[in-house]
Amino acid sequence: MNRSAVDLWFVEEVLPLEAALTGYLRRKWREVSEIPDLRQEIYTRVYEAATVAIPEMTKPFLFMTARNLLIDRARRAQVVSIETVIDLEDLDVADTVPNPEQSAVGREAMRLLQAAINRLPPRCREVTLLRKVHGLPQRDVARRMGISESTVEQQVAKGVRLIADAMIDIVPEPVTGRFGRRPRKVGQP
Amino acid sequence: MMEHDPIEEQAARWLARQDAGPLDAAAKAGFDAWIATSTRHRVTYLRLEAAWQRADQLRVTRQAPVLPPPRASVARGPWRRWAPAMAVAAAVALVVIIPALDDWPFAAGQKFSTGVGDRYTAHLQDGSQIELNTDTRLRASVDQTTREVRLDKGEAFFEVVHDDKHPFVVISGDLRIVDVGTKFSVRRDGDRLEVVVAEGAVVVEDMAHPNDVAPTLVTQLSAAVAQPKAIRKSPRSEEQVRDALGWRHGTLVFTDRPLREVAAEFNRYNRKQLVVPAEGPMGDIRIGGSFEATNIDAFARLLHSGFGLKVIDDGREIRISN
Repeated sequence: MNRSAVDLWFVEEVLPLEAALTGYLRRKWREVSEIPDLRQEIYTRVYEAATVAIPEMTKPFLFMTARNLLIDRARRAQVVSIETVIDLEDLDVADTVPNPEQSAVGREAMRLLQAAINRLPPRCREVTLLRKVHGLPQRDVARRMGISESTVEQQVAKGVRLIADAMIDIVPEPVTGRFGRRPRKVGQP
Repeated sequence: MMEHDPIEEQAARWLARQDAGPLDAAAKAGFDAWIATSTRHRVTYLRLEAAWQRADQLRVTRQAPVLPPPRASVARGPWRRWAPAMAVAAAVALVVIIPALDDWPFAAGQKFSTGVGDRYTAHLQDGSQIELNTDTRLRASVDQTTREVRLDKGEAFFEVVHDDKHPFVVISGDLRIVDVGTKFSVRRDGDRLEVVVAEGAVVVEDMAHPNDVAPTLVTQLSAAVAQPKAIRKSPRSEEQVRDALGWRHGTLVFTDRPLREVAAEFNRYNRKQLVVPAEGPMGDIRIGGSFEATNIDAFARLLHSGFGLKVIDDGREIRISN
C-alpha cells in the first residue's frame, strides 16, 4: 500500500476530529447503531473530495460533509420534518463542537486510552499490553501466553477495533446549543 | 460494543496480519487489491492503523497498565501463593548475633553471579531460593548449621524456607538482614541497601554502628533503605511491592519517575548505556509505564516518538538531547 499525501492528511487532520464528529452525530441522529456507518461514509466522502484537492480548512469541511450526509439520509428516510432539516442548516459547527484540543490531549488522552485498554476482554487485553506496552512481536506474545500465533493475530484484530472505538469516547459531554436549546434529532417524527 | 461491519472486520484482519510481520508477495498483492477496491476500505484501514499506532504511546505515558506476569511463572511462581499469606500476621524475626569475621565462613560457600541483563535462580540445599537480578554477585553458605548469604553487589530476591533453629542471614557491607520464613528482596548500591519485604518480616541491623542504630524490624509490605548510621522504613502497597519486583519477570515498572533515574535503571540491565544530560530539565521528564528491561533500543525510540527528544545511537551509547 503506497502512502499518499491524502492518506497523511486524513490520518493527521481528519482522524483527530473523530471524537468531535461522533459527538455531533450522536446529537443529530437518533439511531445510535447507525453512527459508525455514517462516520465511515463521511470519511469516505471527505477522502474522495481530498483526492481532487485537499481542503484548506479541514474541520469546517468535515462537518459540512457530515451535515450534507445527514440531510441526504434524512430525505431518503422521508420521515423527517422540514423543521428538522432547517435545524441542521442552522447549525453553526464551530460553536457547538468542542475542539479536540479542548477535549483530550497528551497525557490525559493517554490516560483514557489506558482506561480503554483496561476494559478490553482479558485475553485481548493481555495481548494488547504485551504487544503495545512491552513491544513484543506477536510471535513472542504467543510464546509467552502459551497460545498459538493465529490466536494472537485474532486477538490483535479484535483489539484494534475496540481501541479505535474507545478513542471516540475520549471526548467530554458535547456542548448543547449556545442558547440552551437542545438540538432536535433527525429521524424523530 | 463492537458494531457489525464486514469492511472493518476485514481491515482489522489485514492489520493484525501485518502486525505479525511483513506480508509475503501474494498476501501483499491481495492486500493492495483489497485497499484499491474502494475508498471506504482505505479509510477504514487507515483509521484502525492510526489507533493501533497511537497505542504505542502507552509505553511512555505516566500510567501505562501494569503487565500481568507471564503465564508460566504465574502457575509456578510464588505470587499466587503469597496472596493468602499476605493476610496473616507478620512473623517476628529473631535477631541472632553473628561473629563479624569478615570472610568467614564464606570461603567454603557457593558463589553465584549474573552478567548485565541476565537473571538466575539459585536453589540452595535447605530448599530456599535466591533469584539474582542483573549484574549481581553473592556467596551463599548454607548447610546444617549455617544459613548465610553475602551480597557483594546487585540485587536478589530471597524466598526462605523457615527453620527456627537456623535463621537465614543476608550480609551486605556492614548491614545485616535476618529473617524467619520470609520473601524479600535486597538491592545494594555501594553502601546503600534497599530491602523490600513481600511476606513475613526481617530485622535490619547496622553491624558497624550498633550503638547508633537500633535493629529495625521491617514487616511485610514495607521497605527499608539502609545506609551507614541510618535505617529508614516506609510502607509499600501490594502493587508497589509487585512493581519493585517486576525485574523477576524482566520488567521495569515506573510510576512518575524522573528520566535520569529511569535511564540509570535501564543502564543496570544493558551494556549499551543511555546518556541523559546531567544538567537541565530533560532529566526531570516524568516517565511511567512498564518496560522490557533489556530492550533499551525500544525505550530510546519511544523517547523520540513520545517526547520528541533527539536520540543518537553509536552502538555503545544512546545520547538523548533536545
